[in-house]
Amino acid sequence: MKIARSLFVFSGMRTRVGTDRRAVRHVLRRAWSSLPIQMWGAVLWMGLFAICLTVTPLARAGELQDGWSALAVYQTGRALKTFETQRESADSATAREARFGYAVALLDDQPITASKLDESRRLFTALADSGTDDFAQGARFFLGRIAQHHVVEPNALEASRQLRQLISEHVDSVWAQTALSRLALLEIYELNPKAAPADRIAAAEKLLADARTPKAECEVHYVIANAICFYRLSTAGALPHLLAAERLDRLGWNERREVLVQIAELSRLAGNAQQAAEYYRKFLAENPRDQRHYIVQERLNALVSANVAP
Amino acid sequence: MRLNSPGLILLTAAYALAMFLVLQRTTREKTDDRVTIRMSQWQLEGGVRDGINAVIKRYEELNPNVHVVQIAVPDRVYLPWIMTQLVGGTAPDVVEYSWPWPDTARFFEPITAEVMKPNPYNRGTPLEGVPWRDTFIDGMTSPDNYVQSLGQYYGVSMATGMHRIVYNRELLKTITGSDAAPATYREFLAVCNQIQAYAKARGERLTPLANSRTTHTLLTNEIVSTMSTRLAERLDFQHQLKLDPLSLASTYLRGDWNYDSPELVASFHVLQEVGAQSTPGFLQRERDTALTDFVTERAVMVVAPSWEASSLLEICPFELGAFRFPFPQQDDPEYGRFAHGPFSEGQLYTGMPFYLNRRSPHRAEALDFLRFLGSQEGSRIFSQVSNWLPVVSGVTPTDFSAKFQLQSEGYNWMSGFMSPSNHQDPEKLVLSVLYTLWGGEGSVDNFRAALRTGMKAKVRDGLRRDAQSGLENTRREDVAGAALAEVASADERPETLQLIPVLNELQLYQARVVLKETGP
Repeated sequence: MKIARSLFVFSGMRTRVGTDRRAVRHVLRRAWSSLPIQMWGAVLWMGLFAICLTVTPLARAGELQDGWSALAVYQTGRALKTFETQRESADSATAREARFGYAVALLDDQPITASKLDESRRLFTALADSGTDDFAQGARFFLGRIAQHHVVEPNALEASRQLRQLISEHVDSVWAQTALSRLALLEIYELNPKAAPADRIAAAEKLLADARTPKAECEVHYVIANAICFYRLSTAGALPHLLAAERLDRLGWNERREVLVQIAELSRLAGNAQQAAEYYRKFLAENPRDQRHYIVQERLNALVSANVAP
Repeated sequence: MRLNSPGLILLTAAYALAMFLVLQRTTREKTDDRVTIRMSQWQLEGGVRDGINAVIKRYEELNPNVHVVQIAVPDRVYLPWIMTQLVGGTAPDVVEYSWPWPDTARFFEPITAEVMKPNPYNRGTPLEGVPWRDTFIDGMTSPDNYVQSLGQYYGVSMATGMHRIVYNRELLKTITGSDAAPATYREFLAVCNQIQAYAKARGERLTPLANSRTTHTLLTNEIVSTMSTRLAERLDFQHQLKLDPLSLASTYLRGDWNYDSPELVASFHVLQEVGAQSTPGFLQRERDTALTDFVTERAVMVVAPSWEASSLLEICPFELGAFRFPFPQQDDPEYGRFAHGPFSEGQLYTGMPFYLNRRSPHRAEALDFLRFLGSQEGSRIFSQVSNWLPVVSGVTPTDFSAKFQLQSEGYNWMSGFMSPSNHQDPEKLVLSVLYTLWGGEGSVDNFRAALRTGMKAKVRDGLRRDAQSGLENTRREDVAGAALAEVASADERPETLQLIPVLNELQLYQARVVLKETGP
């Protein structure tokens, strides 16, 4: 039973083959050490059989890793060839990954044509509707992104439908967490253009409840704060979002320096001199070479000399 | 066929010479055990190639197993040449490139991880142990270093530049009795009037300021920028204390400002006054002509960028001075109410960036050479030989090039009112109608009228192109982001996919909204 359970665990862990080799070795070691000594001979034979069964898919998984590596450095042609060879693999996990990789690569296969997009969408739909694994989640994400950006005529409704489904079914996944800020963009700028900007922003704020990672939450706060300024709504509404984005500590360098200035400026305008001074100082300390150094320093000095900031 | 035909002899000789050169190069490559890396660049100004060769020589002394070949290509053909090489897979290992050019992500390898580590060539200097990024005077914030649209570091800069009014000290003293540079805008106008009067009295062909259709923009944009700081502050709806091209374009299309805004009208008057002191017909003249006027003493001053001034130093038989244009300040009787100084010369940007070819067969050596280029020693060697301004902290410029160092203290909203776009068409429109300001019948009113016509369409087009390129970047990075997530092990997966930064994606939406709101 222990062997059977170990092999079951082993095969189950291969959902993301190639990234879990250490875990596989650990499971094998545990199974081996827990066996009574009389069964070692039988296990050796069974082990050989198991190796025959598993080595081939593992080798294939290694190839798939090469495909992903190629795609990560924009070598789409090489990636397509790699994924193509494994699309009909007898090993279902390998085949699913290969189909997912192939569909992703098609999105960057120049020249991009309607037929390639259709093929990609067909593969993603099949994957998304036939499982709940990582590739099903990724496929749902890309069905949303295709409608959002990859087709010539974007379909915001379809994009939001797919992203919402992803978030509702797999809220903890990296795909759903990535989708949150992109869905926020759709809510604010595309989905309901006749509604007042404040209402659209309020709809985007509801997405914060689904944030499970600091990065996803930070991105949604940032998108909302930026929209409030873009639509010239009361900046008092932007300040809490900017503060939250900064405190979550996931902003990229470029976004962070803008957010520090924005918090300082909006705090000054809101009469919160202490907070303004804190963020002016933070900006100066982190960005000594920024062009705005002079004006930020001047505004900080004005707060200090007026005795409204420490 | 007669053997003594001159044509045939010439052809044979040329063929033999070509064969000799090819064989010589091939033989050298075959017999050289060193790793050869190639670098390409387009800076053919005086001193630059010598500067790079000096850096290479020192690098090869430190790394005897590496040979570096410099390929200098004229700037007019550089882009098509390098694109052909990159597409064909035969590009040099280290390439001078620029971020707005196509397919940066596809052709070049980001060096983000590398710039976060200390540069080993800075050992034994005050920069030892400092992350490479922070050893540059701009912290690698220039668009050629940190490519914002991709959220990655790519280029290693070698120089920075700034323009000045370079003047003939002796001639100025002869005319005005002093070789001191004018300190205020009114002093500048007074000096110019003295020069005009001097030339008229002697019947000499002498103008105060040598100018040209390409160099006047160095001054023009800055004059408009310094006169419009209050306007910029009013337009900063994002509260970022700056106006980027997208904000400028959006606010222009939304009707928040136009070329009749009082600050801009005042700046056009200053432009007109400066134009009146410049070489007649300078809008039709090239920069070489302006330099010739100055060198031959037909002009007392010339607008010169630092990368050309080093050549002037070699050519001019007289002593040179250099000063920053004295913009009208708060105490100016006419323009003081618009001026809000002191004025910074803007964000320090570095340039002449070298990128790492993604397909380099000698990645380690190429990266190592880049590290030396961007080290204190490499920068010192280059700036001393080329007379260009250095970019690595702690490296002092030559005495002359120091006069061109950027003055960063002061106000600057990074606003380009003369080109409210990420693209060049609005600026081209401005340049094409400047004759309405500076021509024979020119006036500020005519110039404003000309700008009213056609600008909206250019700005809209720029915004449309921003949205399109943003879309292409987004699509491409969707794919790469997914691949990076799949390559990562389960415990190293990011919290969210590394797509295009969300700032870039939201700007794409905002551009679309503005285009829709302000339809043609």
